[in-house]
Amino acid sequence: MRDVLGGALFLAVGGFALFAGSDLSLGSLDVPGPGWLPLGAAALIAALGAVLMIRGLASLRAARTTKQARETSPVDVRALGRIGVVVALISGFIVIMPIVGYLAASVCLMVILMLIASPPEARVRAAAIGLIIALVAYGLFVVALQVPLPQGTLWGA
Amino acid sequence: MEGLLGGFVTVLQPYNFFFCFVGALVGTLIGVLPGLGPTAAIAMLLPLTVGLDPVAAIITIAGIYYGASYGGSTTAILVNIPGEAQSVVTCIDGYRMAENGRAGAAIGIAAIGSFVAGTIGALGIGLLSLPLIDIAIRFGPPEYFALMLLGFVVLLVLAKGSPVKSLIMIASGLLLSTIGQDTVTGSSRYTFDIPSLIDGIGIVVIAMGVFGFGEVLFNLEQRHQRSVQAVPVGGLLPTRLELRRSTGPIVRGSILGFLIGLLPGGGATLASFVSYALEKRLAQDPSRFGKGAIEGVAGPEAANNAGAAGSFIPLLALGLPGNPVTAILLGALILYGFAPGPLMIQQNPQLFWSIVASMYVGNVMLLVLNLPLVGVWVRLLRVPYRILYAPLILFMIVGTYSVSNGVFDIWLLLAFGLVGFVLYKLEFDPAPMILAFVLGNPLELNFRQSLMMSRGSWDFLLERPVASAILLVALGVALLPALGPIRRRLSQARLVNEL
Repeated sequence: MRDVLGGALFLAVGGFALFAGSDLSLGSLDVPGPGWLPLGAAALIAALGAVLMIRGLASLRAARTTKQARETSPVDVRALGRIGVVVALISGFIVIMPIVGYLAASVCLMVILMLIASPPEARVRAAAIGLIIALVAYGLFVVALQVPLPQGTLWGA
Repeated sequence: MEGLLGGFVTVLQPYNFFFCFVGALVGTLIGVLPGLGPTAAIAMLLPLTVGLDPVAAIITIAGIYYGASYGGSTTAILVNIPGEAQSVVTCIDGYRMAENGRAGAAIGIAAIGSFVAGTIGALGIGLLSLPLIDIAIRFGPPEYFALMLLGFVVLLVLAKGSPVKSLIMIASGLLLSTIGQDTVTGSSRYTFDIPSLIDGIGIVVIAMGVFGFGEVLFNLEQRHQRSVQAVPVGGLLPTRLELRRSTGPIVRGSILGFLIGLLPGGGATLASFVSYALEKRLAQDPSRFGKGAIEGVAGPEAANNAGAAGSFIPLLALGLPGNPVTAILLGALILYGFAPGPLMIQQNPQLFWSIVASMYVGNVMLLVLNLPLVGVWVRLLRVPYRILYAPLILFMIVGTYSVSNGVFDIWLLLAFGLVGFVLYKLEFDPAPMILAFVLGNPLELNFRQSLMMSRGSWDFLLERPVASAILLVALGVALLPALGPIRRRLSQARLVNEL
């Protein structure tokens, strides 16, 4: 099943790359143009993706007829949900950081990340740890290492 | 050898020495964290070194590399989780030793083995680089093209998992490397009108995303309990018998590892696997392997250190990375304005010898400072992941932003983190992709330059003996799997790879 998904994914990736790069010229055999490597690689990816997918489907069918044990572990929806939440939070951080500045954004991010991962009884402690992490990081990156991080347009930077 | 002495003088200056120390310490810290190894550590800490003087920066990175390797093996022994591919083999017998109460000895022998190997490796680099550079000076685009092709072939033949998947990964890396403006014709490839993409994607972002952030996402999905083995205080020295048993593996591992590191596509990981297989074959009682045989830790740990040293030679002398770590180092050197290759050593001998000397100094530092710090690392490992993951994420975000001074790369970090996660779940190995990504541009450039030099005729392949010889070797390696008896050996080697 993994192979079917993987193969399909790369078939799609290769196909998309072929489409997006269709305006690149392949050049000639003597003078290769900008398109030969990306389009060649994309074609290879798509072809191999198809091969992988077909092999995966074949082994799925074989497994079904011989009643072999399932090779994949069941998909943990809650786990994927955790990942989705973290990705969403980081996306939010990226969007608001230029506006409210790095300090405020990182405090929010750290506190929320700590909160969602902590058991209910340790919520306050988790939020406190998040705040401390953000402050220490600010001291380390902005003050000590002088990394130029956005101050935030909201505060008139 | 006076160059090497000069290198030591540079490294031992207080400013550089301090940063080597910091690099080793922080590198060990990151390497200790489960799932993060030298590649992720360098990717994550590289942005912070940008403000430093280039020589100090590279010395710091060398310290980070060794620190992270050491940290990774500590985690492998104590928690049975490899920091990176090169620590996988250490898990096998190292964790068993820990379960038998010999964790201290395992960590100790890993440190000693790495130190010996690092010394031999540094000597090897000192001895081999100059002759190699003399040869490499005469290399032109056709030879480089042939060498890179050889690297790809070796990568493909020895890669984990099915060749189809490895080839997909290599092709994907090549595809990603084309993003940006084509240097030869100036046309934009896959930039989708995003200005940040005109220069292409940075190696740091990809490596940090796939190995660092992807690992974090992977850990978020799992929720395994980590049981950290207790290390007896003061038990860090192996017994005399253990030392005697380890001498052979360490020496063999060092030499073998160094040679493997020299190969394109070789490096620390392959060296550790081969050493394990060799020691098991050579042992008087192979059944002890897998149950806590110290040879199974001493050999591979020495080999992976020597393999790393060996892999620096193609990087520094030819500008050719053979594995993800050297790929990032190449990116780092370019970031600082150096172009690794035969000319770099002529123009910047101080840099080259400082790097070599810093490897040795870094090894000494680790031996001296980390043995007493094991207790600190153990306590760090006991911190629950739900607390660790937040600062890790912030660290990576800041690191990415500071390299590019823009927000777009953080989106890329996120995207590649998801890519890394999906690749792990679908059982694709990302290492060939990273390597292909780094080599894609030089490969294409050298190919096109070769054709331009020969005015469009493909005869350039035949007219240059060195290039043709290398290509023949590549062809031979590519055809190896087809031969029956070799096929069996190869599948054995692949099985070892899949441990």
